[in-house]
Amino acid sequence: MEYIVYVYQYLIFFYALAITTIYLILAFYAYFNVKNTKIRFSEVEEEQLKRMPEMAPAISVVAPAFNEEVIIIDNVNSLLNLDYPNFEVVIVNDGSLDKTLELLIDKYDLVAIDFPYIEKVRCKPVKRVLKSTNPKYFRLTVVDKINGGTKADAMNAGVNVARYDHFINTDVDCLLARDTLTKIILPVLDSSKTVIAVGATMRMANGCEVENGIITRVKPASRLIPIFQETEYLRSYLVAKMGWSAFNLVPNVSGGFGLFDKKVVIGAGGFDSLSHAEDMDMTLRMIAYMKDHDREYQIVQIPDSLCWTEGPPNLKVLRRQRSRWGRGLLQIFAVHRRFLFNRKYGRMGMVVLPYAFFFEFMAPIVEFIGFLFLIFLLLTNQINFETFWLMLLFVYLIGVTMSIITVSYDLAVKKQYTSVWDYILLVFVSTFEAIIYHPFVVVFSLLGYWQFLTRKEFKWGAMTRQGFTKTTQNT
Amino acid sequence: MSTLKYYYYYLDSEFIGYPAIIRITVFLVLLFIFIYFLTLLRIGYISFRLRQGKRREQRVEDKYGDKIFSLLVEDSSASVNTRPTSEDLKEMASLSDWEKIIITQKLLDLRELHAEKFNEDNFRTIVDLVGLNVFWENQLTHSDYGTVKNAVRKLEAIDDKGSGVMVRKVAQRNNSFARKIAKSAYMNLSSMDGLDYLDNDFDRKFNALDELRIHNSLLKRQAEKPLQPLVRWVLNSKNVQFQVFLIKEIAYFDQVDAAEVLLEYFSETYSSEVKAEIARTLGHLKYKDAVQKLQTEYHYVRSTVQLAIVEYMGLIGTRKALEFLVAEQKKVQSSELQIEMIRNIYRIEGAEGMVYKELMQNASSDFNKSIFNFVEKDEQETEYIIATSKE
Repeated sequence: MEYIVYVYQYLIFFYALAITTIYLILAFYAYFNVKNTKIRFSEVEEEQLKRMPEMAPAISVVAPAFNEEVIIIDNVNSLLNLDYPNFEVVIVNDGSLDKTLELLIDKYDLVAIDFPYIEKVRCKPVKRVLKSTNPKYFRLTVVDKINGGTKADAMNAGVNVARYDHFINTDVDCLLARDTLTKIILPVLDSSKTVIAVGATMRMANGCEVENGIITRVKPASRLIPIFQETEYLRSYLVAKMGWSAFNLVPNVSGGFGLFDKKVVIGAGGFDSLSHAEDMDMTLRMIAYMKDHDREYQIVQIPDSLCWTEGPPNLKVLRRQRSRWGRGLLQIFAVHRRFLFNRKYGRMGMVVLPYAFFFEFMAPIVEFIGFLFLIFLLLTNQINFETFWLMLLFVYLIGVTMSIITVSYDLAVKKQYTSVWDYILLVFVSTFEAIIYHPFVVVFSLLGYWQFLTRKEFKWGAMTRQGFTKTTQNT
Repeated sequence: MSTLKYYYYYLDSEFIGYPAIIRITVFLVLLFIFIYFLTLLRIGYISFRLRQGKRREQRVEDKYGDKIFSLLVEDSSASVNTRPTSEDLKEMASLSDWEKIIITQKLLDLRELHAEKFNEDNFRTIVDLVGLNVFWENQLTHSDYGTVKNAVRKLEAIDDKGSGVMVRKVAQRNNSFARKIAKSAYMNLSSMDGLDYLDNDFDRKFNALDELRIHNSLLKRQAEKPLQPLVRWVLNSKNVQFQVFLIKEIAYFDQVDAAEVLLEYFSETYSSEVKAEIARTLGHLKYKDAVQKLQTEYHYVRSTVQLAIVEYMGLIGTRKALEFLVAEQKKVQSSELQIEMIRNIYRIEGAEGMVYKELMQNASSDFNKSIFNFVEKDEQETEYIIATSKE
């Protein structure tokens, strides 16, 4: 028993040391990547795209909607107001049971049209395609389909209807910045390799002031759960993904917002409608597709905040979200286990997936076992408290330091909050993340793993919406 | 340094005898604490710089704003836009670097906001008297690429042809980003032949963003005098993407004289992308002599080229083109190609055309029937978009 305790302690230490090393490397490279991206792409290029529409690649913005009557109009208004010369908006009504479709039809004068629907990727049947009789809304297409149970199925219908070579995958609960499309397309243009996907920073809309689908003021949420998530999201995008992007090793382009190459998505078979982590699943399959066809590719992450999403406002909704993410992550490794440590898939197989397995998937398990182990040591009086507090401080400082680094990167990219005290608030709140918020995330992730292993039937489920109009209300 | 050494040895002595794991952990804890406070300082510094930037802008606006406005914007109430002398601008004789940066932006913003009333001569005089072009040319030698890029952009915006030589030096740097920005700026600034970069495919790392920059330059040149024929660069290039881009530009700038040469090149090139773009361009140039050849080639090329040939036929709109589309439409296997064929038949004949109507009546499946209504609505929408964008 003593030997097990001894070995386990060292394993935990080296695990934490490995995480530390990886995060520090990512933070280091992310710093330069953020700096270089700011230099490479500026308002001049964006203005040129708007001034010369003949040179601006057309983009489809695809957003599935299921029971989103509270926010659908705000969202569609936000999308139709994007400042870009060539784009369309495709809303996929995924068999909503509420008034989502009726609201859209009333607001935008929609009628069903004859549409030569070609199923390039599999999805549940499309009942009809609607367009507006008002020329003002010529960019809008609404796809009405039978519910497929997951966002992935709805996305596939959107991909089948989208007419352009690149599409944005976003959610209806997301508000996009007006300059989203000019910013997101620049990395695609400025590359000699095929850029198969581009990700950007997502933030919480909770707390922001919104008018007619446009964010007029960015503010942190006033409730704790969304504030914790704000820092968590920023850490994921500005440190982790910007760091990975420096090595062309982005593991996942978020399903909440990302630009994708449509031909590659179709070639890879479209979104997996059975997947609960359709974003990471799609990213991996696109990479595998390019590898299988011996084609060079790039996945880029840009640091700009382009998408605001309504985050779970309370623990109940957070639990639903994180358990779904947990199910999705375990499902990824179950479905794509052939990529793991497979040299054929290059750095995806040898670096990205092993990292995701050991330091993202295993992390909640390691932490939970560590907690049980701690209880055991306490009960058997085997704790060396000096060492214990030192190790705890070390692990605590990893999170807190990464959080403050994240906040500094966010401020360096662009000052989103009006007052610098809002940034100080994020720093202050992040000092409590490890104590208040993170344990719940661990428990909910483990719950997700358990749900997947016991094969419970899952539905996409309805997010409890607060709505965006005026100030996003914090209940 | 000796202080650091002192503290290092002190800490080391405190933990003598402890396992390596403890010593490593102590080191990491101290490292994190150091990074934490350093980052806190960085946050403070960034917010200080942002506030300082705003204050400086306000100071420049308060000190020089009215004077600059009165000199540059015609019909302003302050003066009658007399040519400024060094005496008029003596308070601007010894500006600091940050003032020059802000004033340059102020001048350019005024030019954009009041384009019709802007006094260009006075603008040039102010730039010379204050030494702004010399300042930005000096910035070109900076090692930081962000500073160099900003300097190139400002010189390009100031549009002083004399700066072309200095900008060209930046185009010889190893950093591809700085090099390409400088090349495209040189194309705009050069008083001689600024298109010589096109001889070498513009840049060894040519990409779609360079297309945007070159197109911008070509537009400016076209506004001054007719462009040289771009086809010679198409024929001499080995870079397929570059060729495709130039062929598109030939269509955009309506260089009809290039049509015959392009048709000949269609047979010579092996690249499907180039063939497809040639077919589309010949359609935009309304080059009817290509109909026979493209109809023959249609059956031996890839689907991307077939799509382009179909588009060509729609743009040409001759009887032969229509007959070709009708004949091929009956045999086509690909749904996408079928939709494009019907679209181009509609473009030639319109909804009231006999052939179009007959095809619609004979459409066998629901899918085939839906294509006609969809194509009509889509084309009407496209016409609306074109009409509104012209407004």
